[in-house]
Amino acid sequence: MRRLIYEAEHEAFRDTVRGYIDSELVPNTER
Amino acid sequence: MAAGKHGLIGFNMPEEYGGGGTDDFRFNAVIDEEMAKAGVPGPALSLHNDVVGPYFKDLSSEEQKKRWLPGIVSGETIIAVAMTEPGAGSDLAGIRTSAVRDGSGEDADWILNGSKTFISSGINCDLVVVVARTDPEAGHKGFSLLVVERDMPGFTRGRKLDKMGLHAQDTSELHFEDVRVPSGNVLGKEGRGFYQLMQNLPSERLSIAISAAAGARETWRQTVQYAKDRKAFGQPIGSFQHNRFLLAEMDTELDVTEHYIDRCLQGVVDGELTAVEAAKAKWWATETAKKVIDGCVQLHGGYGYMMEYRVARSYVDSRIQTIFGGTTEIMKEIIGRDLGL
Repeated sequence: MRRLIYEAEHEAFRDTVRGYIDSELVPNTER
Repeated sequence: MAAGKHGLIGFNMPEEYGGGGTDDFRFNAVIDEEMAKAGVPGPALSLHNDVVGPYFKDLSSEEQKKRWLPGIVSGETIIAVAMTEPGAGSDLAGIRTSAVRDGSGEDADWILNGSKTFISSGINCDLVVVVARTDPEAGHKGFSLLVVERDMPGFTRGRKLDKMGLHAQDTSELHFEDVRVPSGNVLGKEGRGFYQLMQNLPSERLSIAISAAAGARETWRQTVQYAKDRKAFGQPIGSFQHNRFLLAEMDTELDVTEHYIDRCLQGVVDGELTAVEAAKAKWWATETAKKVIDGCVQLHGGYGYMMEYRVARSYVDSRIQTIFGGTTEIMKEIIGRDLGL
């Protein structure tokens, strides 16, 4: 179901959060 | 620190102290969702942004803001809140940690004694908001919030507790023995601690609901894929009607949960979310997540019991969600009392 609560600025922020997770957290997952 | 550089903390703090100056809780929700979906160990962003940060933002004096907010915004200062005690969990009336003034007058220091347990970021925190009795005769009006700093004499960390899941986040005991806390470290008004704690609980509980639903949704997605790939008796296990129905039920339950959460989220944005609505979101979303993830473990068969599989880690990591931030039973008490029962 499509969620309507978020606007474009929130989705852009979501990309930033994903970038942080991919660059800073995922490489350290096994530590 | 990296989270601060990416703008993932402090965005909801005032601009004059380096923050982003937004009050839009949807940004908090986006972080909660993405961290839950990723399921990777990381800093306690939700604790920082949704739980403890608001106490400093909303209750600090200007002088305290200047002292504390820049470090909180940058991520250099790790913060925690210490409420639970060995003999007092859901029942605040059982709190025994206490502080008495050393002298008379409002400028006199407080001498703090007591112990806390189950404190998230307890080992690593630089500042901890301690809930203490400052007037034993005043009931709910006898609690205050005292900010204890890392190096204050008499403040020691106890055991780092060995949890079932969430191993990347430290949870510990804290001890306070004759800790001298300056009067300038009282957060908000003396004697208003209980009410100040209650103020932030609805959005705190909603953030737990958001994380629970997002984590369960991701586990469900991975299980659907597993049900397509894994074959038994010559066909994908998802093609068996029982399994297909299970996954369909989970999808429906998550849709309904997300819809209610979004309504509550709009309530936070509009400043209208009530304690009762947040209690409904918290117990429903976390119990639904527990049920969905348990079903996903079952669908994975023996592999679902192996920690190398995401579904097994989700199972142990999510189990706390029906307990912390107020148990399911306490949530139902809040809702029940509102019904006049």
